[in-house]
Amino acid sequence: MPFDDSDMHDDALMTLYANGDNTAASVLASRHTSRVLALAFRMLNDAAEAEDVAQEAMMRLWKIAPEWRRGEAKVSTWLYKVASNLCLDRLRKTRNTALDDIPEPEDDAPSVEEAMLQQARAASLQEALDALPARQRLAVTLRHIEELSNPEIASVMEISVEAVESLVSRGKRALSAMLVGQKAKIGFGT
Amino acid sequence: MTQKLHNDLSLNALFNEAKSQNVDVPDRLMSAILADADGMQRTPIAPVVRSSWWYDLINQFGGRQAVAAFASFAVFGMYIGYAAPSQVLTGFGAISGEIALNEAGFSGATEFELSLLGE
Repeated sequence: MPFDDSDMHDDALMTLYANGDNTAASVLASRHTSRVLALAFRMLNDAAEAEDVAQEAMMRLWKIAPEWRRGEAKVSTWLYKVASNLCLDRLRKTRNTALDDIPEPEDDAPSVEEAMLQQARAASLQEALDALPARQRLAVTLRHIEELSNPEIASVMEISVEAVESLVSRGKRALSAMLVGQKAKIGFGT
Repeated sequence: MTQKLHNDLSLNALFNEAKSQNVDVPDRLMSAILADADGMQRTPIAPVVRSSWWYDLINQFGGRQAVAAFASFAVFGMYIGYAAPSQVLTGFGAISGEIALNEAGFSGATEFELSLLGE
């Protein structure tokens, strides 16, 4: 049955998918995959691994669809939770990766100055995020890049709001400390 | 304090730049995700089927109730074969026969059993 997907709620799409509507899956995938992929990439800093996580998280969404209960959870929050856990699991397995193994940003690519600076800033931020403990990285990413509220992050990470605030605060302090030495390099020098 | 504020502003600027960077979902990933979705929908929920030979055999004879009826008749037939005609005629002869013997003055024990007791 054709439907206008622009305003349809995620819960309704889940029900439609569970009842055999393929179009609902397409709408859900286009709405949520990029967010999940972005979070996974921020956490893992590896495109292939991030894609694996995104695919696995979406697979779990399809599996849970027949049992999905309207209003109990937001699809986006549920997906962030699944993706976060998948990322943390992978990070636990590769915890021994040294910070020195992370490649330096390529700064010899032919480009205009501002583009180079922007690229350097993005790489520096990612490098600094990678150096944070996994849960601090997750909290900072969800709060300041994915723009989730603290209660939403608490739900995703299954911790208290106070714990989220603490993680974000400590994460930001650590990021500042790491980036302060690179201000000139990334164009924030005074 | 001023330094902290400056650091926060720099950090927020970095976060804002990171937010503005769109993540493009590769076509192959989207195709794989939609193929997964399609596959999950097509996976039939298999009914629980009892396929042991025992159930097959019982079904060959018309199901559990029919087999139970056959078994009852078989036991009853064996009873008819072993029991004395008088017992069969009186229905449950073992009970009525014992009552008849008691009424005739027998204790129910055979001579062999009495000899074992030394009587």
